[in-house]
Amino acid sequence: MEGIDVGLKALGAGLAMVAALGPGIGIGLMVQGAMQGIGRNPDAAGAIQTNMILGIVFAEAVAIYCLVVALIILFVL
Amino acid sequence: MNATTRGFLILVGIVVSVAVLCYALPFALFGANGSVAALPVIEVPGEKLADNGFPFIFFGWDDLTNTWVATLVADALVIIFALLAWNVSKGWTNEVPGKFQAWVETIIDALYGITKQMAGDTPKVRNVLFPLVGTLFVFLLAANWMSLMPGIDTVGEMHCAHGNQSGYMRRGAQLFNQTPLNAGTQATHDENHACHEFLDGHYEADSEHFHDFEDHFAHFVAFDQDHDGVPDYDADTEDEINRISALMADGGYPGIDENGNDIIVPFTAEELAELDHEYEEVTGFHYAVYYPTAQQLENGVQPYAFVVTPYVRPAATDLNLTLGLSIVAFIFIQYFGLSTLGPNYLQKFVNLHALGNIQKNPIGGVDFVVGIFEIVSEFAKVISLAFRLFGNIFAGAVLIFVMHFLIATGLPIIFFGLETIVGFAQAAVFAVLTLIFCAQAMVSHHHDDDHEEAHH
Repeated sequence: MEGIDVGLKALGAGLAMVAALGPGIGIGLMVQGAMQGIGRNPDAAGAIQTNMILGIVFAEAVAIYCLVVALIILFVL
Repeated sequence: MNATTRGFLILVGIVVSVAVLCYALPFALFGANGSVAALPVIEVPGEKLADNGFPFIFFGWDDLTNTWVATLVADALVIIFALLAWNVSKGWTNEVPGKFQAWVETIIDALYGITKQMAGDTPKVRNVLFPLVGTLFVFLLAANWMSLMPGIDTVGEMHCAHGNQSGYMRRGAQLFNQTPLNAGTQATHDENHACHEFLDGHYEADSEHFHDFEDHFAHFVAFDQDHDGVPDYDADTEDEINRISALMADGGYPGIDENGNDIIVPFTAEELAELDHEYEEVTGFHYAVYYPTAQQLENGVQPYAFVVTPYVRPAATDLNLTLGLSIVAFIFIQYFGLSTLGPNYLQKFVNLHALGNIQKNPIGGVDFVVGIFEIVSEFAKVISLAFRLFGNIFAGAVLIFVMHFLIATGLPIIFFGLETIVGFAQAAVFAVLTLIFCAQAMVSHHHDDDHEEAHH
């Protein structure tokens, strides 16, 4: 039954990474907002970029949790 | 030569170099030589030095890992960098900076600028927060970029694969792999044991024994492969023995399909066990995984599963380092909060002020509940900092492993570029988030409420 084990692990890791969908959409929305802000007010580009990157980092953290879960499923379990 | 001709020549150059780097070298040449890129063992915890046959153990303390070695190397790099900068700038008294000093000053200026912008310019920020953030950044940059250096994560101690690790045969100081995209063969505990006995000199994998076995085996498979009681192959001629042993190396015995073509029928589990037994009788040691040819054995290939445990593995691929750093950051966050706001800092978590005013301002009770959530979010900061750094750097290391495994030359360069950016970004993110959390902790939340009270 070794084969089924490996297959289920791979399936689990893949399913864990499906959750990266959310952060992807979130980061997209954030960058969209920031780009619009910079387009309307180019002088504020510096402040907007800093805050955008900060927000991206927080959204990305969720994707990284999924990644860690997937890695643990693949290489530790 | 006009632009179109030049463009054509450049295109030809790109196509040729891609063909050589991405096909000819990794597949054809390395395959013939047995040095196709192997997939390294991917393990989440840092590999312990003592468990993997390392030549030294640090003062009898056998829990130390190869990520710890990388931490020491990164520490040493940062200290050398600082001493060098101190030396070159004559203790920061050199008025006209040289190239190196100017470069160091640019980095420090940038870091100090961000620190001032986020946390103000108080003595505490200058003397405690800025050194903390700067050290975190420079240390993590050294630790992350170290993984891009040659030899890190690749050069290490070669030893028998532990049970359930996937390994390759060994030739000298190198893993022996002839097949591109072969992810290794999983070793069992028995094989690990046999491998150790082999290395200890109990068995000899010399080709003379093996030739005996080949003869023996050729008769064994040729005598009656389809169990119909009729010998299928006359294996008495040397050519026939060679042919059968070549087919045997592919993990099956020669057979004939209904059209009369030669095919390889894979061994069944029982046949493998019987084969293993036969082999052990003739050569004195057994293996169930590899069927090396006599030619390979003559070239010094050792027929067991070997893996390489690197001497140095990037420090941030171990959760111990990232968790440790984020606990340090957590302690500093609390220190800045408490030393700036005094006991009132704790009102952020247990909001006695809001609780005391609850008959005057029942909505303020929400602030008390929010404070409880603040406690959770404070610990979430530790987890989030630790896992962000670990996840990014570990995934980067795995990415580089897998890309080298898929196509050994050429292609991975792109991912080294990507990892350079990721390594820098994650070092910066860790440092800047620590900075922001510390800055937040130093700001009081209760100005509005106090104002209200003064009015009443």
